[in-house]
Amino acid sequence: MANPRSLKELRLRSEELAQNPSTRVPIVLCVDTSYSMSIDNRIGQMNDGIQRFLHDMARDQIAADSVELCVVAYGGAEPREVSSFRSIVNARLQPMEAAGGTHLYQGVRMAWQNLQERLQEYQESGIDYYRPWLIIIGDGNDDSPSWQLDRLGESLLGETRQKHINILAINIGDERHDMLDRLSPDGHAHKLHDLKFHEFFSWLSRNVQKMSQSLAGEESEMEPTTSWEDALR
Amino acid sequence: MVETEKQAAKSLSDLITAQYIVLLDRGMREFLLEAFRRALPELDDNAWWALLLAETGAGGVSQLLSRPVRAVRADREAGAAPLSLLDFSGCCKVLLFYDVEEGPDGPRFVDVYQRESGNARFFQNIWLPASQRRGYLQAVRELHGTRNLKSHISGQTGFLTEADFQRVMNCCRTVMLPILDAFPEEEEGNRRLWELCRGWQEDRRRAERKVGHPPFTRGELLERLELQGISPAQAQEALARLKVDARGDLILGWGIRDLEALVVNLLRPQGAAASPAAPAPEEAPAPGKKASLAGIPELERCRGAGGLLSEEALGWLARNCNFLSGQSLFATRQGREWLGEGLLPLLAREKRRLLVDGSVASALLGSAREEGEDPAGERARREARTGVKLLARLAKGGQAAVCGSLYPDQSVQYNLLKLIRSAPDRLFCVVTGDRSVIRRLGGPGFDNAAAVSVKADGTVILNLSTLPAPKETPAPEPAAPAPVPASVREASPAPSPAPSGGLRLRRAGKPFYVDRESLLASPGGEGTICATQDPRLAAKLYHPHCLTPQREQKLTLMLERDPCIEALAWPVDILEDENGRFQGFVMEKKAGVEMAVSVMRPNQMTSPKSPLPGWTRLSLAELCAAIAGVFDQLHQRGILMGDVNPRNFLIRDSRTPYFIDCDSYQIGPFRCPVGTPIFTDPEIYRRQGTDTPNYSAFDRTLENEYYALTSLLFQVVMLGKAPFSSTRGTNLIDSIKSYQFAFPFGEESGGQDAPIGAYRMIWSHLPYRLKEAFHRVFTGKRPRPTPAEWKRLFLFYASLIREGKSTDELLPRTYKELHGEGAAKFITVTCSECGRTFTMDEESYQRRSDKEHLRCQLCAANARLNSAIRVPARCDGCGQEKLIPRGRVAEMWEKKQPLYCDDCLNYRRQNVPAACSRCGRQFEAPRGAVESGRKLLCPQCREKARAKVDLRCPRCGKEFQATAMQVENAQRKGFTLECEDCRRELAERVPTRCGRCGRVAPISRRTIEWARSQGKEPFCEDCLREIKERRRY
Repeated sequence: MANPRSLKELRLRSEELAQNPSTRVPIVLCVDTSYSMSIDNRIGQMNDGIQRFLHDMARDQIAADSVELCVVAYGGAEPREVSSFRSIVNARLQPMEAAGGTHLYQGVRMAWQNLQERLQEYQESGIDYYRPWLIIIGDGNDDSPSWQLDRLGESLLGETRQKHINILAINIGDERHDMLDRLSPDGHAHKLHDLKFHEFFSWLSRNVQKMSQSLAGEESEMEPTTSWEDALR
Repeated sequence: MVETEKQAAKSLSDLITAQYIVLLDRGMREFLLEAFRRALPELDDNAWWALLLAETGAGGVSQLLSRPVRAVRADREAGAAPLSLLDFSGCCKVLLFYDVEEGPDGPRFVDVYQRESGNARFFQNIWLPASQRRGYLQAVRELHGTRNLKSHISGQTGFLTEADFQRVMNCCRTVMLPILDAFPEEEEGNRRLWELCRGWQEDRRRAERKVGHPPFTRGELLERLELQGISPAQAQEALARLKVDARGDLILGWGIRDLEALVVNLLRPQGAAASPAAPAPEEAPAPGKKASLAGIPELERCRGAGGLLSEEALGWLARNCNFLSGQSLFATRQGREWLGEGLLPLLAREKRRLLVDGSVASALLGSAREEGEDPAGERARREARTGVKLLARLAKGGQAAVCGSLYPDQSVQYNLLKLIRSAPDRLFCVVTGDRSVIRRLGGPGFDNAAAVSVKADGTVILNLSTLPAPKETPAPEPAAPAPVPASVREASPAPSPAPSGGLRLRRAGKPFYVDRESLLASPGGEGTICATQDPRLAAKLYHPHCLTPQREQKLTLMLERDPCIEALAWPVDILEDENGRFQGFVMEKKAGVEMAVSVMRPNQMTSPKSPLPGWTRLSLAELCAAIAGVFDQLHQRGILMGDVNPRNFLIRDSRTPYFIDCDSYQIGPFRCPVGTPIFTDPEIYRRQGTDTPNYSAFDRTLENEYYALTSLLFQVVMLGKAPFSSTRGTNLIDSIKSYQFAFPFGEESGGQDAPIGAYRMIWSHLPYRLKEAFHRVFTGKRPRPTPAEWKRLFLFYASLIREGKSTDELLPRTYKELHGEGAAKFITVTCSECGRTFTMDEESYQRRSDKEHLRCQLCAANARLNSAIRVPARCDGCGQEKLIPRGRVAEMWEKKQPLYCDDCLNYRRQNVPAACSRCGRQFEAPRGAVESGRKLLCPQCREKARAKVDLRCPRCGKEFQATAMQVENAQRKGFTLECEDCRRELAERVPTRCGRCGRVAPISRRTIEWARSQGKEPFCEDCLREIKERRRY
């Protein structure tokens, strides 16, 4: 198992929560950093996209107070947390490199646990939050056992139905990704058209901005995904 | 009216049966009793019993119960509540026939008819002619068993006539409808009640739709006519002649216009005719003849002097205009001075009277009587009182005339403007300082009036903006396309800017240019808001799917019923295209910071780049008071905001909120079609039965508005925290519906899930009264505070902050500790964990038992999070992956000690038998300690080991103490014990040259001394390590 958080990090986290009580939008990005991601420089484009997303969010006054990003990378034997939940302006993201095998199940599990930990922190500190986002990006070729993924997919689906979370599973590979399909709420992962990470992260920042400006209880509609999604299934 | 006697009897009995049965329903009964209790609050149970048991000549109230007195007495013994003994007819009788009077022993009932000598008069008051009495009695007999005519005449029955019945129904209606919300519809007995009330509401609504305001009752109508100086006889005759449609007591179809036609002749120029004669009701002002103040040379000459009112101008005005007074003329010292010295003598010379509208008089009275706690308002009240006395004196002396106001429940501004509008053939001069009135008088439609104001320094000015322009200036044309240079002409024609579509202002009848390109706000779902040719006005142009006739009617009504409140961006005119089709409307442009992105964002407000710089808690309190004040004014005019949410407010400064998007307000019969979840009254969710109500399907009530206002004010004060949030398990709407308010108040703890953190701190600093009011509304109790009450509360809060009794910080960093009166003394302490200093109040400090380990708020919060949040980790005891508090996980990882889950910890803490390593005795020790294999001591040996021994330090010679254990250890291992100071000194590392590598490195004194004592040079740590390693090989 990964190293636990240090006491110093725990302290920093709780101080941040105490000083900024704004309503939060927590986003977990669970990304594939296995060896296959080095094809077509997928990993490089994704790094760029994430950096741009962070930049956009930091620029918007309201989103900068609300949005929190956690990046979990699953590539290699153990998943690792590349960037933990901190306020956007404090977020530091090292560019990721592609290496190792693909263990989707462990990655999503770690992402989920991190998210739950963060939500608990919010609840204990009296901070409200909008509906969290869980975004899983993978390119296929998985080494995880399918029965585990099935079970995980069911519980995620249950959470989506109760409107506790927005889940986006995105397939950037060339073929169908059965594993990602299992995790997706409607059974089909979104397919990223032509590695359009830039469009995807722009779409994401617009939706997240709209969400951070909404009032409690308002349902903000998601934009259609046509700008980045490959509609052919 | 029916023809034959039989039919009369039948219809009457039907009426009585139908309505009487309905009203005997349990819900209605309770309702009536409640209404009763509220109408006569000064009567307590004892007073009621006294009445019921009174034995007077006429039989007393007990006769209403048709029960003998001894039965009533028995009921009292049995402990019944007096009001429960009254049945419906009994209640009605009390309402109608008995008056409550102050007697020597307190309030008492007096029989009205008794006063008029003889109950026989009761029978004479019913409208039944003699021929129909028999039929009536028949019906009565059928319904209630045998009663004879005689007893009925002598007033010993409890049954009513239809006229009485109607009177009671009207009385009930006025009391019932406002308190309807307190009787929930789902309850069994209230169903018929709601049916009845719905019927009433439907009638009302239909009437309202026709005339644009709630229908009059007959009594109201007569009253209003009387106020205007028309005698009751003439009024009755006029109404009879006009054949009004009266449904019971409600007069349907008779509107304000008809009323205006009756009263407009009150304002005859005061010359020979001193008293207003009662006009024939059909006489309307001569149409088409409009008086105007345009182009009067005496007034125009004032322009040169910057508006200062010259003697000749004042003289001209006094000769030709009717002078209307506003409030400021009486309520300010300067106004009163000018009144006495300048205006009144002039008016007396011209044989005119100063006209004071009734609404002004009542406003003055209201200000004089108002109760409040803020010292700033005290001066205003004193001024108002002086003004009232002056007005009374003038009215008595005939120098001023108080005329009844057309709309007694509307504002002064409204009345003044309506009065001026209703008589376009007369000239008026209004003396007022009210900016909103001055602005309106400067707008279209008020050419026959001008405004004069008395400034704070005593000068009197003529407000030039209220004078109509001598000629109409044509609206500027849309910018002509730039001339195309000849060289480019062949290539392509220069694009001309899109014409505005030729829009016109409907009321003013003038063309008006709207710049569709310059948007003042992001486009909404209904329309776009753009700038116009007039920099003070903004336009809202609806999207085509929103251009409905209903919206047009609503806007027309809004134009008529302008509430004249400064803070609103109210429509001032309708925009139409060349063909007269409705396109949108024009309103005053309001500029400010949006509330949703400023006040509601705590991190923004506390950052250096705040959108509202310099704002503190005092600003928030003032803003809330201002908002509540505007709501109060709106409600007084019968307008409800409906969709209360932060996006509809702009903030200019802490005392000036602007209310925008006014076209969605609820006014008259037109509903507000939108709403926002967190501001919606839970009763609406309940009544509509859905979590997403269709807001255009029902009328909002004042109760709904009070809830919405409370929610808004809460979020302003709490910097954006909503009163309810979705917690684990429940979603937001469910929390709202079940009133799960999480903040503690008084004894109630607010539940175990009360959020701790910044918002809780703000809450703890709010004054008791404010918390009580919020808590009351958000736990579903009644009555909900009205806007006027909120304004008082917030002014009080503001005064507390100013006096330093409440914190001015936007986000206070410490809790407010509960203790007695007076400011607490604060001391500065150091946090034992982070080393930061923080303040704590003295009392709490004294109360702490452990004064050494004090934690600041941040450290305490950190510790709480670390123990509450559990993460999955592997337990070193059982080997399984379990959820363990993350603080423990982090600590054990850093200390490199084994991590145990809760179960294992408990297991290890259990006491098991152990043997003392010294004396061998059996004792109890924690299992963990036993299993670790350490040497354990029984309690006695431990004590012995801890016993202090006196020693002398071998190095410095000082006497000191050590435990027996330490002495033993030292002896065994072969070193000597030094005193504390020596030990510390020896442990200190000083930079010394190492004897082996020659480097200057920190070496402990102990090492140095030992080395020197051996005659060697000390070695640094690295060298020592190297030597040790080498020795190994």
